[in-house]
Amino acid sequence: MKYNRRDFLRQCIALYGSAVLLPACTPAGKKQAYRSFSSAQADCIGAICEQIIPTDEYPGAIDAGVVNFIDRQIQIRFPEWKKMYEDGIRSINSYCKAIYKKEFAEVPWEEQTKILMAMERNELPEEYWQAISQRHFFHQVRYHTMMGFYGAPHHGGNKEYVSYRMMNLNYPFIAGQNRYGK
Amino acid sequence: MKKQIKKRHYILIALLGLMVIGSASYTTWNRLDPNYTCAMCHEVRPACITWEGSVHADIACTQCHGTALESFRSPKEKLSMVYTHFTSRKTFEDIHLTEEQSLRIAARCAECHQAEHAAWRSGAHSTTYKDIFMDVEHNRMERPYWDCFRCHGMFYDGDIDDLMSMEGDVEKWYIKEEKQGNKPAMTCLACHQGHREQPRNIAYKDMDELFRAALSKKEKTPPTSLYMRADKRHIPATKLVPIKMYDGEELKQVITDPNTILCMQCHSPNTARQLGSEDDKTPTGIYEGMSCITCHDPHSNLLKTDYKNVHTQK
Repeated sequence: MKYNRRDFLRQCIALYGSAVLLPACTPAGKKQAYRSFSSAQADCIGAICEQIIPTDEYPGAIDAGVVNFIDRQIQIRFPEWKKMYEDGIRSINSYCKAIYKKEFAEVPWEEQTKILMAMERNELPEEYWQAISQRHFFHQVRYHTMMGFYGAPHHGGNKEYVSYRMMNLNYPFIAGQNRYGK
Repeated sequence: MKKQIKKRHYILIALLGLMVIGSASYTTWNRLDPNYTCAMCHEVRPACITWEGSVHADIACTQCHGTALESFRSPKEKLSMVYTHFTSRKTFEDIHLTEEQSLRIAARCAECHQAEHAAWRSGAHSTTYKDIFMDVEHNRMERPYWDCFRCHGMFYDGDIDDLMSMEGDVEKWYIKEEKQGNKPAMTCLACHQGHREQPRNIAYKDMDELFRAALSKKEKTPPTSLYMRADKRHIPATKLVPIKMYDGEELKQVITDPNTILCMQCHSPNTARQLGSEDDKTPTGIYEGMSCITCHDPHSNLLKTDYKNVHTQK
């Protein structure tokens, strides 16, 4: 197959145009929102966190950015958490699929509560929890949820200081000038 | 000789071609929807999401932030950004505006918000570092320290010792860089967040009957936020915790208007929350419970009308 110069230039321009517009081919809704979790994993973790700190008159764990907090910690500080989360999510979802034919995030709220209560007591069938202890996973997620919800916002959670507001914490601390010379 | 000239021409044409292609790509990139350009990087994705819900959603990123070339300082800086991006060691939470960037954005705010900018320039809120930190009488009473930046110089990229020398007598203290001394200490971003989630204004003619009927009952969300230097982030004024104030032992009524609570973050009482203490300007007497912006223009701080004896003096 022979190329002439005109065809070559035409194809170069087409290639260049495609390269520039390539990002536009990604559907907006399909973008990866998290760095360490897939969307499905994030939904599962969000559902567990929301059970631990549900939304009431104040935003719950999801709206407070707890999933973002955990995701960020895995990404930049504690990569060792990643396997624990993957194993835990896989285990809880396999249990839910077997019993409810759904993933944990899609199970009704009351049932989610019962599952987590059973997990905390180590009462879910062991066959689904070969890779990780269910009680350990539950306690870790609860611990990280608390850290994300009550910690400083620059770690990725506690969005707009929701927990400080909930606790009526004197933050930001305000104080006028000292004027100790007077 | 003839062959050499031809070769040079080819190189020149190739270089020109590359420049044209480069400029076209760069211009296209800057004009595309940020969801397909800037926000493709995870670092700025959350900022893009908040921008989409803000009143500034129809303004392109580059109109406020400028382009990469406009803010070009050195190849090292840009390479470091690329390195950081690919090593994924930083996230959105680690990205903050420098003072230079905040000033550049404030200058762009002024292009549209001209009246507000003019009011700000005419009032004490546009005071400079020099005015604040070279006030000898004040410095005698209280030695400047890091917490001054909480209100004066929220975006300053350093500590008090970077800003000024405090060796010897107070009269001999000086600001180390004259240019810095002339910069405004409080800019737009001290009290406003460009990406603040805010319902967008709808033209009356486009409202349905229900919307029109509820119009007089609707509360306008204040477009204000506080920049918290310690955390390097904004908190919307509506999310600030109301402040209890006391006159001696007596609890006084303080309005829960978010703008007033915002003002009180810097026009603050002492830690015992006593009326009229330190910088407190809480309205008292027959004005008790009123909002600061009932009487003051928020940008210039000037009085809108003649009110007297509003604030307790202690």
